[in-house]
Amino acid sequence: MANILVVDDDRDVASALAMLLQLDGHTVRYAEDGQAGLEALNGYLPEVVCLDVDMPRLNGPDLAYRLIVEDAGKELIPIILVSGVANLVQVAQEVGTPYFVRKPFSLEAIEVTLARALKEHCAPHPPRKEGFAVEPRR
Amino acid sequence: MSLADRLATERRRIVESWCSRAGTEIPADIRALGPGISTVLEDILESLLSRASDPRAARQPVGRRARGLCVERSILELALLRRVVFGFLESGSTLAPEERDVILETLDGYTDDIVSNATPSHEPRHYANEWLEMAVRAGGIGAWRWDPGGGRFEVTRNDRYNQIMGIDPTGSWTSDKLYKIIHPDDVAAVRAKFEALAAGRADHYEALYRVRHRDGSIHWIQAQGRSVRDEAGDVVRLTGAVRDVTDEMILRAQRDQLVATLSHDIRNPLAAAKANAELLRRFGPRMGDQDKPLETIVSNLDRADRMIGDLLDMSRMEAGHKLELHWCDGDLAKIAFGAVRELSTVHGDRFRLDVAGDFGGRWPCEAFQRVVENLATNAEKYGDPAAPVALHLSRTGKSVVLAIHNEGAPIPPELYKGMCEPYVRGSDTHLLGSKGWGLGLTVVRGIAQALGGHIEIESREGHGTTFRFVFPAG
Repeated sequence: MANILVVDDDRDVASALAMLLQLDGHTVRYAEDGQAGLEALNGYLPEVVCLDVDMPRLNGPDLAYRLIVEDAGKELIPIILVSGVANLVQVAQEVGTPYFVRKPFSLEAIEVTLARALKEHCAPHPPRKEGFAVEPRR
Repeated sequence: MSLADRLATERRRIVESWCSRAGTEIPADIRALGPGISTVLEDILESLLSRASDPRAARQPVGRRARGLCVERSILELALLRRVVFGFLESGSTLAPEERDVILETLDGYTDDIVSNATPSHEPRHYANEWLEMAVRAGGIGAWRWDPGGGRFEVTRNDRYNQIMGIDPTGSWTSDKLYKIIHPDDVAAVRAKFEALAAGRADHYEALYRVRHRDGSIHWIQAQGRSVRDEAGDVVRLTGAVRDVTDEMILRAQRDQLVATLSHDIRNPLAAAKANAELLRRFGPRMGDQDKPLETIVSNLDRADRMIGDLLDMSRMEAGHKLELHWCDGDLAKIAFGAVRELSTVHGDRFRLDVAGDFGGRWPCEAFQRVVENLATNAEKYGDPAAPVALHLSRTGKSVVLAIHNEGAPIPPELYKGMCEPYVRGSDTHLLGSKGWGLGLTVVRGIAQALGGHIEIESREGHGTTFRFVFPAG
């Protein structure tokens, strides 16, 4: 069973997600936005981060980017984007994660994607582009 | 929705808008010259509708029915009809190039039809250029023309072109100068199309691009051009027109933003409701207290319903209607406490409500609840997350005042005026990372207006922001 950080500014969505993961036997921590998620990752190394996209203070993609910039090992944590944004596939490509689930999600979609992420351990790897000089450590 | 469906849906409003605008935008001296296209307007729209369903369908010429029409007035009215049609069809979505072509071809065809059949009030050859100039002026169109000579690609243009492109009216104008003011992301496509036109590889040119004016402002330009060839098939002239479509692009961007935001935000309550329902179905008693997920389902479906309600109300207000209020016996204090309690379940224990006085009576209870929810949600979203949101319900003279205060960065005064307009959300500098439909304040203002009240905004550095919703008691 895994340690999972859920980052979502919608408490009802986050608590439903956390409830599912806990009932499946995982240990869950919750952060209410990207900034809180970044702070939660100080001294905490979950196996997976379930990350909303559009959040106040610090959004999901920016949190992923900050982890890459910090280059402190947390950029290797697989990220599952869980969001209702219309362009979720594009956002996932920009973040460089193969894992994403669209809201409103089914429990099965979360479980299947989580199992994949825990098995493959695919870290975010944003495509190189002009002005984006930082590459994730491999 | 197909072009034909959109035209059919908007047909009545197009006719109404055209009739209304024709009465004010066509100069009175032109209207006095003779009848315009109102007698054939329905035929034109019918033919446009038919061609929108099937672009291969033939345009139905007005022919003899145009004989009594005044050419000058008809040209201006057709130009106006074109603007009205595009205004309605492009206000909610983008037209495909082939859809635009159908409209342009059909309406331009009627211009030729009417000019060749109508009764001019003056000698047509003598006035042809004036009619064209009037049509160009009425359409707010900038016109340009390039006649080859001396090997330089130098362009002659009218005053409106200079205004639209934001360029020096006295200097020469060349394609190279044009490319320098076009946005770097757009210039390659424009250059390729323009050069294809000039080289005779294309007969028609259409582009949408951004230019930077001399004052530094950015404007969206819709440009069209075509080539004129001699008998040997060589290009002897290029002519074209430009139109500033910045306002339309801003409106389109706002609507696109609304759709994107709407689809995102409404999925949150749906996600919470669906996930809790699935959890109950799958785990049942293993979840412990089953009342909480059930409450979450209900409250989130209510949240989705309110969001749709805001959208519908905004739509009604945009159509010029006042919001309908439902009055009932109730207590504003209880309503406010209830709203705050519900918001606390979503946003946490950030809200402090105090009430001064007795607020039992007959009130627009549901509308007042939405006011509390919208203003308190805004304060929570845009205020300092470390500070509480303070709500105060009181009476001042014969008015009821609901004041909602948050700490944090002040709202710049220049934003006050537009804040209640639909789709307006905080700017990046002021409200970084915030979200919402941008309809909350519009709805609150609509409710205030329906009650004969108003909204006050006070926001200063170091003092936070206070919204006051003020309305007559009783």
